[in-house]
Amino acid sequence: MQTDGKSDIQPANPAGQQRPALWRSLRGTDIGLWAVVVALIVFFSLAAPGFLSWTNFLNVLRQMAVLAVAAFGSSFVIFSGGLDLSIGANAALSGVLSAMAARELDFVGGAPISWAIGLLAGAAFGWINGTIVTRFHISPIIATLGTLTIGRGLALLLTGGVSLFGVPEAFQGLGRGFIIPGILPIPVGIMIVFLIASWFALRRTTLGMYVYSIGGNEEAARLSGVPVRRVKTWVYVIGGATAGLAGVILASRLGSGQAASSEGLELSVITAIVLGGASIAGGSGRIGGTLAGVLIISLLANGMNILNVPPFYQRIVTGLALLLAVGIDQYRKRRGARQGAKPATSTGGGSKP
Amino acid sequence: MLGANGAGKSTLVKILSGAIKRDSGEIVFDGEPMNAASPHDAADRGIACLYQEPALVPSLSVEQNIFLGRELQIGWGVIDLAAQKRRAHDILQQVAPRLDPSGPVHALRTSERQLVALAKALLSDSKLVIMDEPSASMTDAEIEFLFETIRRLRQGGKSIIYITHRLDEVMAVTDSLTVLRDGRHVVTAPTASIARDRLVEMIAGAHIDPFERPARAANSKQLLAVKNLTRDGVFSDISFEVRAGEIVGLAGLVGAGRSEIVRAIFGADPADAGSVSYPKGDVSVSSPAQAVAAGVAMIPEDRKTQAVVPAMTVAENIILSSADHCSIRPFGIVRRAAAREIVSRNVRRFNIRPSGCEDRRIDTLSGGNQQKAVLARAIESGADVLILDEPTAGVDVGAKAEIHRHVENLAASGKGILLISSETEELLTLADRILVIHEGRLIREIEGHSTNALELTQSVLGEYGRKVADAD
Repeated sequence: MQTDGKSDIQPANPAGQQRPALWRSLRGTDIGLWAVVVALIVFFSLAAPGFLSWTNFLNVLRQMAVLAVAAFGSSFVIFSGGLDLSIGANAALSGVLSAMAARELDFVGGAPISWAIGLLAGAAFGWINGTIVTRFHISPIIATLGTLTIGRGLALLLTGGVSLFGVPEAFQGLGRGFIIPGILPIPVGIMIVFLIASWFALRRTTLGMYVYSIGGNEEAARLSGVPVRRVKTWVYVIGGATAGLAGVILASRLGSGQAASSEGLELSVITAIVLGGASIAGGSGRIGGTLAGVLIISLLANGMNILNVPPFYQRIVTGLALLLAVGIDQYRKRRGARQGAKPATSTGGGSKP
Repeated sequence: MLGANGAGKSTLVKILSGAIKRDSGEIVFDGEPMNAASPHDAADRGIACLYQEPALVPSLSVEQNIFLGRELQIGWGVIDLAAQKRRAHDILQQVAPRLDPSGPVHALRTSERQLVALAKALLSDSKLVIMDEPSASMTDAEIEFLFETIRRLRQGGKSIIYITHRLDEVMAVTDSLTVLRDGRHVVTAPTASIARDRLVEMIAGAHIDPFERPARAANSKQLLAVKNLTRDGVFSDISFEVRAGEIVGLAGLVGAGRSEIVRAIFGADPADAGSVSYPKGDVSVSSPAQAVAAGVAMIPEDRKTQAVVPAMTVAENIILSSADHCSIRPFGIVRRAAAREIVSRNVRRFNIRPSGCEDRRIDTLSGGNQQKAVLARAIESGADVLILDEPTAGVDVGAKAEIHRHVENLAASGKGILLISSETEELLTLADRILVIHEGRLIREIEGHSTNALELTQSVLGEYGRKVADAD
């Protein structure tokens, strides 16, 4: 049930092959986690009038999209044993750059270019993080603490500390538009695309396998011929690109570039990933878990808003939820380790896929 | 105390110092039965133990390290700094008068750290000090100073158990000696009563018959050529080659530099001079990934920390080095059918048990089966040369025989094998040629089928050829 690193590369397993693999990944994450999601929905449906409606459902999805996109990218970083504290600053800087570009490119077809510029700026920011970590051997927490501060400073410098308004109408399409009018907002569509792409990359490609192997035992991965440096650089690029995109979506929704936006995004992202069952030490975790973590955070925020819980209390509740979830998980792992510590030849123990 | 690698010296010491429990038998210390529950307990009773790598806190000072865990207190946890200073001074006078008690330990050399550890041992008024190969990383001058300290301690009424591989040291500093071999006691006698060459025989054991095995591969293709490879202060001027179908053994004491040499060949550590030509050409290799691309794979020394990824499945561990070969470029999408085929082929070939373990976490398997999976990974990388660093360490007898058979089959199929083993028996069973590494130098090359355990042990100890000189 816990992160047992179940492989997708395995001999034919007739029972497991019938359901789509993505579904198995979501379900295999942790039943307890999805039980919490369901419990939250049931609780708020009963307690908060207006929670259970299509409008609010879309609202939750749209609100969580920004966090989810950033969290999917950052999952690569954390699963590989890294950490990126700079994604909030990265999102703000990329959002500002994108908005600035949009003001310059005020012609038909200019908006997509400015969105792409924001995404690429985020990727470049991530590449710098990855390079600092892999080439200069500075620990990820220090390296990204440094770039966090620099990034935030650059964003403030570019905007002069004020909100950057006057972006063209078209720029706002990414955050406010719909793929299917009234049903599927663009940010939610992007979230779904990134969910599938991240799951695929982590479970079915060599990159994903290398990410888990580096997080699980970096020295073993290195001595097996895994290009550790390149993979570690790539995970920061991926985490940076998704942070940049999250920043662009946010800027587009707000219709302005703001240097102070996405403050604390990194902490929400880490909270979501850890809630999703990943170890901060790396080597474990699933993209389905990250999705569940983002859902829990977003449902809590949305439900408490409807219940008019003051924001100060909301923070306390979110913090408690994190400690509770990780505490329960640790408790179960210890108990599991004590009971099922039979290694080697016992035929039981291996959890069913 | 003397004995070859794996003779049981360290285990015996750990039992004496309370670090591990004995199964049976009795220890009498100072006239009384001794049952130390922990190293701390043993120290309280007067047995102190010094390990090769002293367990000190680098950021603390010499004085703080000496008193760590046994601080002299005024009361309520407040340290009596003045008393500690006096006491540290007294103790350091005995073992290392030149050492600054307030200097940080991280600034000290390994030999000086040994002395700090010794001072720590003396703090609890130990009657017996056990030193486990203290000289392994010391220079001659440092060793001489250690000997002076030992003699001073002996005059002060302390007893010392000194473990070493160097016969010179035994002759220089001990009164009596004990030899262990294969976990058994061979002899205990006054040092002066035993001739040096007789001592080597006792360490090596009775197997002095040449090992019966036909010679393999004479003039096949050269796969790996190492020329003048040097890493300053670790090994120097190492040259040899490995041919197709050949098993080349590296013999030597623990710490002689064998693992360091193969790590340099494999790109895991940098080399300062020399060159290596690889099976797939004269490429420059500065990372293991490049070495694998150049046709070399390695099974590292420590399975747990360097080879397996415990949280991953057996299948993922096997495929790790070859996932690239069975994926669709440029995105590296793994073709699952191909990957599955590689995994099940290897599970069958190496008989990795229990059956159906492919999607179980690898750390639920026994050591021998984990090692077979690691071997499968190395082979599937497509390497022509396999470096095996202690491939059977910590595996059971059955798995060991299986691994030996696989290694021989691999050589028969044209792979070149570079085998590090601390087991004389294993080298004699498998290797066509044995290169002897002593203190970072290649001192001898022996034909595997024409040597015997005695000759090999003599060489490993650096004693080969000096028998004649001593006999004069």
